[in-house]
Amino acid sequence: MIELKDVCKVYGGSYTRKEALNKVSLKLPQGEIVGLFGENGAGKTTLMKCILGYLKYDGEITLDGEPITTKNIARISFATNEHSFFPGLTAKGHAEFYAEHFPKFSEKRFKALMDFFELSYNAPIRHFSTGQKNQFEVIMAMCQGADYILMDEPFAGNDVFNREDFYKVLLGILEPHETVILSTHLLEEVENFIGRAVLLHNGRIVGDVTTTELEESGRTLMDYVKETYNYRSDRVVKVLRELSDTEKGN
Amino acid sequence: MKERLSVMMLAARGTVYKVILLIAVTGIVQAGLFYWWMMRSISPDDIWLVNLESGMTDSHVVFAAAISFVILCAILSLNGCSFGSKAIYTFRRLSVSQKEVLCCWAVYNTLAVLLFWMSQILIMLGLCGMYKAVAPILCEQSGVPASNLPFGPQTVYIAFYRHKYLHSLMPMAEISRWIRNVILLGSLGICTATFSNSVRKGKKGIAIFVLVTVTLGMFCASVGMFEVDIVSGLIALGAGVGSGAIALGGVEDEAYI
Repeated sequence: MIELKDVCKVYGGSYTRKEALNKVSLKLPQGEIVGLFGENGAGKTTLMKCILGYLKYDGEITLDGEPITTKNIARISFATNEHSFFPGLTAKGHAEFYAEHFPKFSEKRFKALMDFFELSYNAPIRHFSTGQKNQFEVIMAMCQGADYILMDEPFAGNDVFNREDFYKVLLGILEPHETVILSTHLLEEVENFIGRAVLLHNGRIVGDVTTTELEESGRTLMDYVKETYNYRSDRVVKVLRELSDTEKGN
Repeated sequence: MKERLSVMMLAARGTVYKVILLIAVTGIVQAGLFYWWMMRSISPDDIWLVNLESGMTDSHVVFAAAISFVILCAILSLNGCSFGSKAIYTFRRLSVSQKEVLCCWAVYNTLAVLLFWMSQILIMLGLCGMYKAVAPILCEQSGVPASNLPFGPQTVYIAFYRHKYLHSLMPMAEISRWIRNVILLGSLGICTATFSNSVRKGKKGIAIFVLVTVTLGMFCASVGMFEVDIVSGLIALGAGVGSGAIALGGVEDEAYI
């Protein structure tokens, strides 16, 4: 289990201080598919980068009770829309490199996903389209053999069919011990894919609910998000009415 | 050990074919330039001017080597910059530390520069052989007796003593030049590696630019130019050790991450 205790992260100096994470405490047991939601700047990416140790933070993050270091970092993989592959290296080269560094790298899964998305094994990744690069990024994260797969907006730039395919494949191939933490804005698309939703707002966790709880209460994920963020749908109506009144007045 | 070799292989995968191609193209260009010089220089009037050393200078093979050297440094420096991706995320998830990655990269780059250096020695020796084999034929075709060519058993040996570039490539008994060259070699390996390492971390690396400028300006020196060896060696040492120390001890820019 990944456990975060009172994690705080502040960017910038005294003049540009921005609190990206504010006392975030969260437990992520193995075998869950967790959606991480929040507006831009809510702290989703920062949270993932703190888990991976890319950023310094205050508080405590542990993996099965141990701090996350080079010794256990291989248990976590990361797919990001910023991309983390080697652009000049081929897919085949990536597979060989990963196999040497990550003992649990699954060649079988790699081949299956590469064939499913019809990606080239022998072309350098820089020659892939943006959508293909995203697919490849996710493939590598899925095949590393990690127990925790962190995905930060992995499908930005992919079309809806492509994303749909990926969710289905993902659900089909995930092992019971594998945990996916997926940060995305595409709430409705992932609603049937995730088992738990964590909502962030201004660096704080403002909502944490399982989809079973949502079903039992007869709400959709979107309802829950709107409710949690106090989304006022009447705002739009009000603005439109005001605008049309102004135009009539003119 | 397997993981470290794998990181070195990652560096090699991105450049080895380019380096080999560069060496081959450089050799062909230098051979072409040298042959062209022989073609246009051999005439009955001033055959005494058509000696091996002036050929090395007038054929511009040294200029070709300089361009090739700059390209080599660019290839090695840009390898691993991972433009369009943040490969640092992957590097930081390896069991091999960032420092070890940098060292592996530096060792590979040093070997690549060494390969280039060795290839230049071989190409220059090849050009000497070409002069010995082809110049007499061109003389005959121009109606000049081949015996008039200034070429004897010691010519190549003397050329490697007197010609600045040839001597600096293979400094014979001049220990200070060998030491300077070894320092240059190691520093080029380190600076090319620290450049891509810096770019991956969202920083800039200037040491390689200093080192390339110093190499271009001070590599060729006559025999006995001890002060040139000292100055260029010290600058190279400073660039290599300095950039290496900064890279190994540097703090990553969180704004970039």
